[in-house]
Amino acid sequence: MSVFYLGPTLASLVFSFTDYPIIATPRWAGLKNYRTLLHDPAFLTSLKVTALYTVCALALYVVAGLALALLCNRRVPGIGLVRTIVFLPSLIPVFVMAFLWGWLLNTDFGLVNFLLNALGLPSQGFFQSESQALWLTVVVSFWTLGSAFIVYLAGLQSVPHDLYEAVTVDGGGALRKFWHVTLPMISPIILFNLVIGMILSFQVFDIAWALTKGGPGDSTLFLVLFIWRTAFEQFDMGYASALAWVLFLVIVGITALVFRTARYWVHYESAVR
Amino acid sequence: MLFPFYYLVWLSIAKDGSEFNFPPGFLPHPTHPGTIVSALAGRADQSGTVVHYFVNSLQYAGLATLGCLIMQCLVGYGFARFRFPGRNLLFSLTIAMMMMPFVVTLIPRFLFFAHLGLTDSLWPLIIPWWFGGSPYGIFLMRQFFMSLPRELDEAARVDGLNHWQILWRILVPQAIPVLVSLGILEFVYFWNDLLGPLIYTQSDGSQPISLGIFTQGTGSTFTISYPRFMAIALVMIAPVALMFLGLQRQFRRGFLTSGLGGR
Repeated sequence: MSVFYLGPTLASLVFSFTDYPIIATPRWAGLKNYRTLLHDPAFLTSLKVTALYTVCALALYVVAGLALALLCNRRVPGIGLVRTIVFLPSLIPVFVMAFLWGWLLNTDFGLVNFLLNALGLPSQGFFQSESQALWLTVVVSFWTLGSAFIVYLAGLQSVPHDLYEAVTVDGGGALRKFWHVTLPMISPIILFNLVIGMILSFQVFDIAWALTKGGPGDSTLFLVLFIWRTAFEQFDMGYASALAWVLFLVIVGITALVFRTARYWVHYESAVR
Repeated sequence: MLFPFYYLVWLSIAKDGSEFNFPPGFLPHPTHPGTIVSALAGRADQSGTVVHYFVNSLQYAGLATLGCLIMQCLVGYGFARFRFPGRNLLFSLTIAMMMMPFVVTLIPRFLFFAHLGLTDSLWPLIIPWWFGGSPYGIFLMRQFFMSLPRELDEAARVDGLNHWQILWRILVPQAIPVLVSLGILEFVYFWNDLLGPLIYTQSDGSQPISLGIFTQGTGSTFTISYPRFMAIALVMIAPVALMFLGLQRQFRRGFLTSGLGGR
């Protein structure tokens, strides 16, 4: 473990304080990289874009994942097939999904624009439009929520039945059951999906790499994409390491924040864990 | 949910060039299997063919998953059953690694493997997993081993088994559903991995199918052949989908028993 995690982690921390164009040896530069990034408009844009994407994609991941799991958590014939159908698309690589949507939403030849025209609406720029591209990457991310879905489903199935029966005895309806039994019982799982989903969303790369390369303008310049460019196109390893560390600290900070709020809304059945 | 999937299949059996037809279609039409056949043509020992990419992917995903599963059993067992100084600190560090963006370790790792002269191969993507597996997997295996009663170990020790035998003969067979679930998730992750190969492989001969397809898809609207692209994508998705469908029951059971569902 330590060879491939701890070592590189410490190394990248050290690099982040150096001038390190890949051909030369690193030279100590103190806080220079960190000072630069505070004034780097590209970095600030990528931070904003990544944050926007994370908020929206995460909401979709956590809420729509739960909604689908609730719908599929009933005993009706054929439900196994429905569950499989919901989960299966998440086996498709994200970048293939991205290419597929890229073609469907192609400005000139895409099916969607054709249908819009048929309805008498004007063609849209979609991925060629600075104001639409980011939101469309969120749409593409919808097809990755299978992993959240399946974790929710496992959680829903482990909610004890007698709790539901107790609500029925007290004359409570479906809404009461959801609010007073389901939600508290699966709150640890919501927390789990929230944290995992957030960590993943902050590192979004494939969608942008396949579809937009960060454009148009810098409207989909996600942080990891920006780091990638800095490291492997401009070969500025020092600055890239500093950027990576900032991303790491942002993720750790927000995760810590989420865990702090957890005690107010996450319910643990047994105190002993 | 399934519409993109449908459209993918539809495109992959469309005639090359017919994606520009007007009006754009999406209903069933006379199929043209020629696209798939021509996309797949080529031999395994020839670099740049789909079959060759496929073999590379199998090697990458197979070896990396195997390494992960073996190491996660070992490390998870260690955390679950042994007391040693610094254990809790080490475990907290492992959990912290889950939050670590891969880009943090990316650059030093790349430089490390470049010094070893191992770039332009998939080995830099396989070797690290043989040194501990993924933090997520370690966490899951530890939780699972902790849920097994210690009396099981005690009984085995009375029968004269050592730690190594206890792990592989007593505990691991109990963990099969969990290992299957974890194995599927990890295999899919490696199989679909794009960024890793993008960094380490340059020549056709060493690239996996994810990158092989990706290269097909880059270019301007008119130079990309979407039917061809989607035909290869279909070949890429098929084994993973079949694996999932075949092991679905085990997969579900693994999720329910791993502590993931019950937490």
